[in-house]
Amino acid sequence: MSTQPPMVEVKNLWVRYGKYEAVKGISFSIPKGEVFGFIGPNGAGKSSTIKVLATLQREYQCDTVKINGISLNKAPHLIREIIGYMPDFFGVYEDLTAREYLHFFAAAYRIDRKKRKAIVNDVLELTDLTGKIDAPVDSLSRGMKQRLALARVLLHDPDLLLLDEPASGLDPRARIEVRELLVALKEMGKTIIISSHILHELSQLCTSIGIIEAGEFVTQGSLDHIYKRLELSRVVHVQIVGEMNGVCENIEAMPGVKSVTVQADRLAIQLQEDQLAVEDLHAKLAATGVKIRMFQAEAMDMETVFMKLTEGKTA
Amino acid sequence: MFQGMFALFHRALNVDFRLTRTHLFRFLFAVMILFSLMMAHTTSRFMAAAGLVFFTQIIYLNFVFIIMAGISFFATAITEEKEEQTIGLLLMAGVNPISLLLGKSLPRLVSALLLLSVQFPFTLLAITLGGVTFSQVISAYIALAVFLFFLSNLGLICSVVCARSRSASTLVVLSLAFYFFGIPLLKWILLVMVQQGWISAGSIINFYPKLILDWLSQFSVLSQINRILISGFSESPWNMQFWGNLIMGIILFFFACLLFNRFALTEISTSPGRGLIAKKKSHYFSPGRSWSNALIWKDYFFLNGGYGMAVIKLCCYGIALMALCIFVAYLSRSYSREEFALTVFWTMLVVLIIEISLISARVFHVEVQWNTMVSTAMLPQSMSKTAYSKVIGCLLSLVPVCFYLSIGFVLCIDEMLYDLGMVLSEPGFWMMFIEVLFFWHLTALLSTYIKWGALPLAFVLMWVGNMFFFFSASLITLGGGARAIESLYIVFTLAMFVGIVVSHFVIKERLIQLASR
Ligand SMILES: Nc1ncnc2c1ncn2[C@@H]1O[C@H](COP(=O)(O)OP(=O)(O)O)[C@@H](O)[C@H]1O
Ligand SMILES: [Mg+2]
Repeated sequence: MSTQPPMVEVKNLWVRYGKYEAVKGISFSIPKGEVFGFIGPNGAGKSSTIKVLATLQREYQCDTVKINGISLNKAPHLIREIIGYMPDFFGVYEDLTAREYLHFFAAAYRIDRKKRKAIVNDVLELTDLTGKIDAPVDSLSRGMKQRLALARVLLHDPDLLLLDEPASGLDPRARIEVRELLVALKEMGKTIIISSHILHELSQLCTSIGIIEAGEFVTQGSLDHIYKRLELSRVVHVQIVGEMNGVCENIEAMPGVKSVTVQADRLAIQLQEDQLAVEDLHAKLAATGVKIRMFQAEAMDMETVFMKLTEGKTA
Repeated sequence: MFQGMFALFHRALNVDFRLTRTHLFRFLFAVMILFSLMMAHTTSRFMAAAGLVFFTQIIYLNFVFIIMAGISFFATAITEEKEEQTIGLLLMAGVNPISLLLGKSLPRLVSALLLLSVQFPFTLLAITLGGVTFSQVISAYIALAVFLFFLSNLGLICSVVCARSRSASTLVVLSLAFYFFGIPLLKWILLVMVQQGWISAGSIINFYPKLILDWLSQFSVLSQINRILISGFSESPWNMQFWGNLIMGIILFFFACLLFNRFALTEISTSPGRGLIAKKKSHYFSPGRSWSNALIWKDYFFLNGGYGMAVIKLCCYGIALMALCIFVAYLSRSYSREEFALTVFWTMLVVLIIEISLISARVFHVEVQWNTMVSTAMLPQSMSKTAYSKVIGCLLSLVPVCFYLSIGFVLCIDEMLYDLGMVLSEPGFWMMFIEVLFFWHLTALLSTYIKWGALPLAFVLMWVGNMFFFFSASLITLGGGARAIESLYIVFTLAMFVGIVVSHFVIKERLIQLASR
């Protein structure tokens, strides 16, 4: 283990709104340079958690919340210097142009007057908004506003980015643009916490994810780890030509096969993957002499993972 | 066809009922009436026509309330939907424009009329206190009700035409100013022109405008109320004012319907608008680079118009002051320096108070309204610094007013210093001073809680507070005399001072709370 403290360390965090418990004792820790995906349905408590990290939520209970080794309630000002927070719903001062908007925040973050121009140009380039620099903010499309907000967050070069659903409400193209931007940021070595209620949005990006539901972590860890946990049982669809007599029983008798169900034109075979790999099943089937027209392992996409993990018990 | 209207009506009343604000308004209103009543009761022992005094108070109170309602409540009927961008949805849902207009304005009218009618039994008490007749009560309420009707339609048409609540309210204020001041002014100008012999009394230029102006001034609810409140009034309530306001109201509604399609769906952006800055690309007025305190810079240029607005204000105020001075000189037929100076000073003092009131209603409200508090709160500085920077940025826009104010002050400096010396030792002066300060703080605080109407609400609250104060003062001084009232002034002043200090903290906490939404 390195001696460096993790970028974010949260232990037993509770957020309550009145009697309502939005976050129920979650703990996680994010090393520097990681991209942590915070995934859960609407109302799961993602925004509440992120707001705590952004020093905006004042009513919460915890054992520790540390950012870069600094306890959160000790020095909010210091922490604000090293984080960039993009809320899920926010207004931009729409009466300014993009340039004025960024210069305003640059000045507000006390960036040196001489460096401001270069920095503003840098972030505009990074967010691909250079062409829109003198456009009033309210003439920008939603995706551009989102990127402008990201540009604003990047001005003071924070080490930790807290992005609350940065891609919500964007069309697919804008989503991809945002994702590319995030990949670039990741390569710059920033630690990123990004929340979303859509899983596959994050799958290519995150080094680890936490799935939260109703204020509690359902599961948490690296992507591989989560896939492994879920892929243990997998469904394979098989189409067989000709006589079906006894085939089902044969297959069911194989070690590692949990069940076989006959569907319209195919068989759905449920596997214990740790006992019988997909390719072994194929070999064994072929060995029994049946003619296989189609053999398809059900892709374990993130949506399915998500649906499996969460049970829809959210507000 | 009117199903849509009923749906809207129903929703409006439901929403209205759930808002604590409406209950607060009603409660305040009831409190005020009770106070007037108590005062009337205590004074009825030494006064003959206590009923008339009480009744006069109530009627003027109502008048002020109706005006406030017109400015805030009625003028937002349609702009509210526009700002929330729901108007297109309503139209697509098959609600036709007429039922939309009715559905939005009727609930407001009804709740205002309700407020008017519930007081009716109380005012009947005025009759028992003496000095008022039943027909006066009836006439006054009819006059007010029909004025309310007129005003609701005026507000409606303004909110149809304007894209934003703020501009609709401004339009209502301007129309009312014309209605109450413009017509008498025009009449006066006409009279002067005839007296000076510029136009002859019998000419067409005099005759028709005079006829129209006379006719219009008969519609004025103010002169009607004044007429009613003279003891011995016994005319029929169904007079010119009644029919005039009724018909004008209907005509306005009609026009609102006609104009609706033209204005309702014009695309409005959901932003506060750049106003001057967008149009002025000239680089003299451009905000340029951010100052070292960025918040001051932003609020000065983007909330208050920056240099461009300062120049415009400087010109407009200058012209208005010049016109006013000429007017005063003409009236008094003398041209003394003191008179000019005093005119400039007092006018600008009033303008200053109004400008600061508007600022206090806006400075935090804009952030709340456009949901920008989150990003502002994330700046690595304390919320108090943020808040004070914003206030300073806004106060910078007072430079033009202060410029003229100081000119007025300097021009008659001896007199001013003398007056100041006199007034500074008066507890009453300090109370007024603190009270105005308190009013601004209260407005700023309220504006972080309610969507609109912070300024009128603060005004009404101050009114109630004052009524309470003077009522208790009059009770105490019955026994104690002048010393007692002076100490009461001091106590009250101190209490408000504490209130001001507390409000700084409350506003800060509130802003922090808003940022975490
Ligand atoms: N300011 C608040 N007051 C009361 N309840 C809130 C507040 N903010 C969020 N909640 C509730 O807390 C729960 C979690 O909200 P949130 O953290 O925004 O979820 P997410 O971002 O995952 O959609 C929701 O049920 C929401 O209704
Ligand atoms: Mg959220």
